[in-house]
Amino acid sequence: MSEQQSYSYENDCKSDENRNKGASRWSQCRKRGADGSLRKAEEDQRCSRRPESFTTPESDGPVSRVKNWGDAVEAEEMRSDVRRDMHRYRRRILAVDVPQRDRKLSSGSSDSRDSQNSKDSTAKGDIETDEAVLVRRQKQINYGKNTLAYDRYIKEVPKLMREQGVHPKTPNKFKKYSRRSWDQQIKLWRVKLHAWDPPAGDLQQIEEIDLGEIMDFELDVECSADPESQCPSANAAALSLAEDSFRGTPKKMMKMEDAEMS
Amino acid sequence: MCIASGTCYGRMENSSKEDYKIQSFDLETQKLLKTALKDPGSVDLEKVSSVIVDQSLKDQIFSREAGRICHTIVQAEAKQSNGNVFRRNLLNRLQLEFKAREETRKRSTQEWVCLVSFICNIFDYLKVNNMPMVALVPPVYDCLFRLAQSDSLKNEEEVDCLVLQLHRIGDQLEKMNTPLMDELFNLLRDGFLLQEDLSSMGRLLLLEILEFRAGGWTLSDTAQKYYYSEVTD
Repeated sequence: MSEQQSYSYENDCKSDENRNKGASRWSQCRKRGADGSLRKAEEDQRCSRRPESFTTPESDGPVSRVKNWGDAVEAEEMRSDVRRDMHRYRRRILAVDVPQRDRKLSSGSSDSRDSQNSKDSTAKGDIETDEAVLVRRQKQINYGKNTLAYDRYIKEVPKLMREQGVHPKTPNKFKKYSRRSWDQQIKLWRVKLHAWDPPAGDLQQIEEIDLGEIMDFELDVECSADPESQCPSANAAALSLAEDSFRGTPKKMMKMEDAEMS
Repeated sequence: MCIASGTCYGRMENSSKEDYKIQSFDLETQKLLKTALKDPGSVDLEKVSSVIVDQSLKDQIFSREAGRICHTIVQAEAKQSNGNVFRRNLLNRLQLEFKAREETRKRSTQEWVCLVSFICNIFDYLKVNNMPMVALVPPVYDCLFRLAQSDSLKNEEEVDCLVLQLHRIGDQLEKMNTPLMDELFNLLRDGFLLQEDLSSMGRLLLLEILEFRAGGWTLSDTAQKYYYSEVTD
């Protein structure tokens, strides 16, 4: 790159030399030889090998030189959110496990059906810790929570009033599940949430197909998307909407996208 | 000898909390920014980020303070709609400017130092879960390394920019990557000792920053008196 050549020739390649931590570090660092003249000969060679930037980008997973900063920071944020969630979850389940009182108590997002078993196993550290898996799961959860239906649901039904089986419950990303099992839980959860879709006629859309969502699901040919047969516990309202469920998911983002287009 | 009273290092904790230093924008743009702060969903956030970056490259004062207004808009958008359109647009635009930094520097030293100030200010204010953005660490270091090259050290404007950034974010940067900071300071030390075409102010600035880091990113009382005794605040 000519732009790099021009200023690397003018200046000494101090950073390259410093990286060669040799025994004669002092002499290498000297800009001038013993006779006072600027060192050049060797440096020209090294300068031509100089990388585009002074710093080697940290290879911290998906953060690479190729990615744009917007994506890189979003990915960073997801990973850090997930790590924080994990610490909180660990603290919470350990705290509940210690006082051996009411075994029927289910805390937060843990599944109350197999409460004691799961608490034992999770307390022993048998939780999902793979960051890539957690991030992927969190993304899927975010798609579901980022809907008008979810908004209306949480406003209408406070957590304490939730009834098992009737009210949708966000799958617990920290539990160990197979990929298929998890994807299925997410699908069922999303379908259940549709019961809280705003009344039809509100807005347009034949659908903003969320490609990200489809890619994350990696549509499994075997698991056919037939909502009616897969959610027996869904109430009548959900069933009647089931056919529309994968077509008309209203999103909170609509408002902003409209604004952006104007 | 003392550092001129015009320069003021450290966070500018003047005025009210709400002072985003947007006085240099035209009135219509000021209105746009104020709306973005309160109701980000109602404005074109890509335009807002673009306007902010453009101004930062022209206006030295704003380039050093724009991080605050950006931070507030990011928070407001996250709270309102869980979105990060503004942040994404801001960062991507910033990345483009960063890629073109060498041309910018050739074209205008002022724009170049504004760019560096802005990137560093963003690094300072836009945190991810209260942690600095890892993705910005290499570019920030890149800018500082560039400023530590001998052709830059001979310009007082560039040295001034370099030491300002190190005062503000040096400690954070060092935590994120200590070997790089060590390397940077090797360059500064060498520049101070060996480079002949440094202005005396340039040399003073370098000496002060060397002492500053050696003191754990703070100046001893005596050093403070030495460098800043004639500054009236």
